[in-house]
Amino acid sequence: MNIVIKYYLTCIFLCGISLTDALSQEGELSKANRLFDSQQYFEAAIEYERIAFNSSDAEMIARAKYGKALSHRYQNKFSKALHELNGVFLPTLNNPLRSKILYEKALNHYLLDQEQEALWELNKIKNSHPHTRKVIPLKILSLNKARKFDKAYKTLITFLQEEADNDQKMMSLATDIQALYSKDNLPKAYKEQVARDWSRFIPGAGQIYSKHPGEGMISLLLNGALIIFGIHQIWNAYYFTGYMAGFGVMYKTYTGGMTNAANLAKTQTHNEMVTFNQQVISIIQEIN
Amino acid sequence: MNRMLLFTIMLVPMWGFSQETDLRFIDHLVKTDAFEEAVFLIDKSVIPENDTARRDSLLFLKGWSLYRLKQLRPSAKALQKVSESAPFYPKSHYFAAYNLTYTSHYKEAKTVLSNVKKYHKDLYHFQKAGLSLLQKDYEDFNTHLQKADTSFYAISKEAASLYSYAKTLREHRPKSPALAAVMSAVLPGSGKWYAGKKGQAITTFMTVAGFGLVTFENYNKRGIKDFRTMLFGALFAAFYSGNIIGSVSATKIAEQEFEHEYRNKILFDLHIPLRNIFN
Repeated sequence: MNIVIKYYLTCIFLCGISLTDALSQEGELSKANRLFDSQQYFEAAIEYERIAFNSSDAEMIARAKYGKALSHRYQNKFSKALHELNGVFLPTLNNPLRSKILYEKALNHYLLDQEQEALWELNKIKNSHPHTRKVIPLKILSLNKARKFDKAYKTLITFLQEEADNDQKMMSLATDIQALYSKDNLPKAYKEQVARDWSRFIPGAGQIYSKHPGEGMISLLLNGALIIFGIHQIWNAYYFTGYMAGFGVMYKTYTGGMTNAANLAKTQTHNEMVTFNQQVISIIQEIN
Repeated sequence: MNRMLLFTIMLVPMWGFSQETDLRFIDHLVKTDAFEEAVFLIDKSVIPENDTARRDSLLFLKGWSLYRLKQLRPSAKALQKVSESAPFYPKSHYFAAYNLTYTSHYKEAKTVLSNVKKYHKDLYHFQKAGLSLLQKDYEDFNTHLQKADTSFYAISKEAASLYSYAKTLREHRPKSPALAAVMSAVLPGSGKWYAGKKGQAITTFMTVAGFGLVTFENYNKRGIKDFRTMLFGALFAAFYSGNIIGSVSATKIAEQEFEHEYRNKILFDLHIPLRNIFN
């Protein structure tokens, strides 16, 4: 074979190898990022996985897994996102990427209503890192969800002191925070068993306890009417009518009312926490 | 000209390398249970007609992913296209046949099974026997199961189960909806008892009897023209007729449940040997 052809072949082969390698690393990462930026999260997740598959560099794999987890989160697949992030070996990673991954893990835990796990991941992030600015708000929201209001309040005040750009704004927001975290304003935890027991003794009382007085009154009136009807019928010697149409129907409304009260307690607890955290988010946005 | 030719020659292996990498990546996706992603990539890639090995691999991976995603009909379609030269041809076709059986395309399933008759003969006869049992062709079922070596570890337990299902199915006498209706007309709830729904039978009896007594009580004390007698009478009539109609439905539902239960049992036992042999 001609020496020139051999030379060309060798050059092209080496170029091909290095080009393929480069494409599979930074090139593909930018392709995946492009897909992510254009909101094609499903396709982006595949491209990130491809990078992780083709790469042998631990940091590149971690970056790809992080991108994949973000793509999953944007598709509301929080468990899948966590699964990806749990597969990343953190000890060998440099700090910015390590913190980002820990934050992402915490965020997915928070979105899955696993606030204790979220706090656990957040505590692993070093406070000195600039990523802290993003970490503290999530920590406050997680602390609220975990009903550790004192700690959340202190963290929010510290965050305000560190981040507020002028004293007037700081004073005004501090007053808002104090009012928000006042005892009367804190979201309450309505216990399902307590609501059920209230309705067991007084039909409708469980609904009133769960902050649904309208439903409570309807339940009370309905059960009361059925009891009176049942007693009235039996009093007048209509035993079967009293038993069937009075107490028979009342049994259903009475037991249904207890279940309803328990469900309302659960929903109300969740709704109050969502509203409270929404108010906290508004304050954090004002601080920023 | 020579340089152009040289460049083209160099591109061919690079293209091949890229395709190979792609196939490896799809295989990796399948192995990590990312089936939706695998199907997405396969659908995006061109399935070559001339490169049989690559074509077969892509079709198999697509069929397998769809099977895992429980999209059985399209899975069978992809798996059936795997050519005989592929090492995973028997697996593809046996699973295609199973998918078709599961989706009640029995005729097609039989055709697909006949393509792999020469591979795993015992499994072939076992699957054919199962298909026949699902169609309640007991003669064909016996013929095929007798041809299979039922002492073969992969099918021995399941073959015994199929024999027992066949016995139950053969001896099963369907419940009569008409008899259930008559029974419920005479004694409310008894039709449901006959259909095997004992809990429902007791509830029905209590409700109809309760409204009957309430109606009788009101009729006895207030007379037929009183609105309460009419109201409770109407309720009694509604529950009484509902009890008869309900008994007819209960027998039909009980039959469907019986059929469904045995169909699932048979399909389950047809599936286990496939996983044992091919995984």
